[in-house]
Amino acid sequence: LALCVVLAAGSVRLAAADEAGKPESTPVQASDQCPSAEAVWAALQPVVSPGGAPTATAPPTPIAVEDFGDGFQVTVNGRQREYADDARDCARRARMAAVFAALALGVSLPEQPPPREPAVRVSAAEPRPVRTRATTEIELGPAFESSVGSSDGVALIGASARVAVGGSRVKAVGGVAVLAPGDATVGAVTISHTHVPLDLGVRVVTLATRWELSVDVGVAAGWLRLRPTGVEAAETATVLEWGARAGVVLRYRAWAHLAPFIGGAAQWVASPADLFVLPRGVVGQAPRVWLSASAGANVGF
Amino acid sequence: MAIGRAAIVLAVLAIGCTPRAQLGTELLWISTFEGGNLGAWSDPGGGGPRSDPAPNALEASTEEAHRGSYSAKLTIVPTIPDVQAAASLMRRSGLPVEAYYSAWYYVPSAVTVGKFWTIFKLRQRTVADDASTEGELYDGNIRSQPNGELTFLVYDHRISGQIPQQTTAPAVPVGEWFQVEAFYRNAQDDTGRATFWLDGALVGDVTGMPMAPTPWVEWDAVNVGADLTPTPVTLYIDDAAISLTRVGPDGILEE
Repeated sequence: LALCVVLAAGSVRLAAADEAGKPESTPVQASDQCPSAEAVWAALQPVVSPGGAPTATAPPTPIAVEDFGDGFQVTVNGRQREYADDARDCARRARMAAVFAALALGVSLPEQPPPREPAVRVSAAEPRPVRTRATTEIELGPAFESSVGSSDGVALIGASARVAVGGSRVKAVGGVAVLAPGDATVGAVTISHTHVPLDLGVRVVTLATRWELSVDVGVAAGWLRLRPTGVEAAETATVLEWGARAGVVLRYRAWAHLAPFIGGAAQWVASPADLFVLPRGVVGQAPRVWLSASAGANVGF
Repeated sequence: MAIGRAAIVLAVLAIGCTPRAQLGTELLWISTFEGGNLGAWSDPGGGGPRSDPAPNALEASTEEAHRGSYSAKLTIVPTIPDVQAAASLMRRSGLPVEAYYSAWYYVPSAVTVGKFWTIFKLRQRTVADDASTEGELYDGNIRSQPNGELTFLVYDHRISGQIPQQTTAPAVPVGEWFQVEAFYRNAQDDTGRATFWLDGALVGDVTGMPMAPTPWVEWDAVNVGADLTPTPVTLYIDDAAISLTRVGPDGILEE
């Protein structure tokens, strides 16, 4: 606790000193802004410069800090430690990173032990490049879908599930939805649609704060069942469609492993099926573009 | 490398290959004669192929065909003045109160029509289950023009006259296939309707009046005439259909 007080005081002093001029460089490498390299370096200043005056002298060993969203990792001098921090208190993270860095650098500290933080893992592995922690996220929720490009739009409702696996910034993502029948009139034929779209692609997280925005792009396929009514000898047809999908997902990281989300996507079908009724022949086309929206819960682990 | 090329080829083929969703048919009955016989016209209700007297005749033929290889060849020899010769394909069992009736025709050579030449018929009964009450209703007729060309008109037996023509003297081609289609709603009230097209062009439209006195319907594709020259008179018929939606000249009867 005493060390934290010292570090906090040092942070304030360094902030004042920054008005006069920033250090030419810091040895801290941060993957994101929580904590930032400057904040960690500022918190470390009172320790590496006990007089309290700001210094431009960097320790020889670089300090790497990586933001995982709900936690962060500090690597210095061959030692590595991860901390959980659902609250994303960036100032507190900076102080904790500084304490760990000071200990790893062998800087003498006051008698009190460092604060007991919910450390996840400590290792003495060889220094290595900043890595990305693999995570798995599952999104579940109701979904809505509407067609574009067919003679008459069709609206479907159902449920969707998406799974994303990978690092904090880039993940592999796949999804499936089951959408309940909806009617559309195509060429004077009323057709009930049932749609099961599938996709596989890449998720890129573009904004990683408590609000997290990601973009999904990938290939798409779909199972489309068409059941006409009002045709004398009606036949239910099933077609397989394929194409591409792009979407965005916005999550609010309210809890460590649970985040509400809302998303939207467009699926482009490369070759929509011709809808064929005798004796008229081709009476229309299946949808060229599907627009979808979903909302629900994102579970991460 | 080979796999990559194969994937590209498959992708290109997939883009160019539009899938088809077969959603059913509005066709109630068709006859394309591709079996090489007139079997589709067999009718337990008394219809079917019929020619009388000899040498009038019907047969499946490969001499001409609208689609495929076969058509029906109907030949009549109306040699006795004012006496009709007939070769008929008749449907009369279980026809709906409302439907479209379509057939394609081919006149191989010029014909001069003296008295009359009928190729399309809708018939009626005054008592639905009494065959003795059958009678004529509408006839689709071919008539000679003063310039020798043939034209199509619809004759209403109830008024003993031609229904109002929507198209003046629509031409009947010789040596080319042409389509005659009718929509017939055999209502016994003012919702009755009979509409006729030649090659997709409206010929006549009788609407807002009762049709036959009973819901019983007979449709015939025929070669019936009197005082026709030269003889024999041959007419080919192909791709006949009864449908709940309009067939039209571009209609597809089978895949």
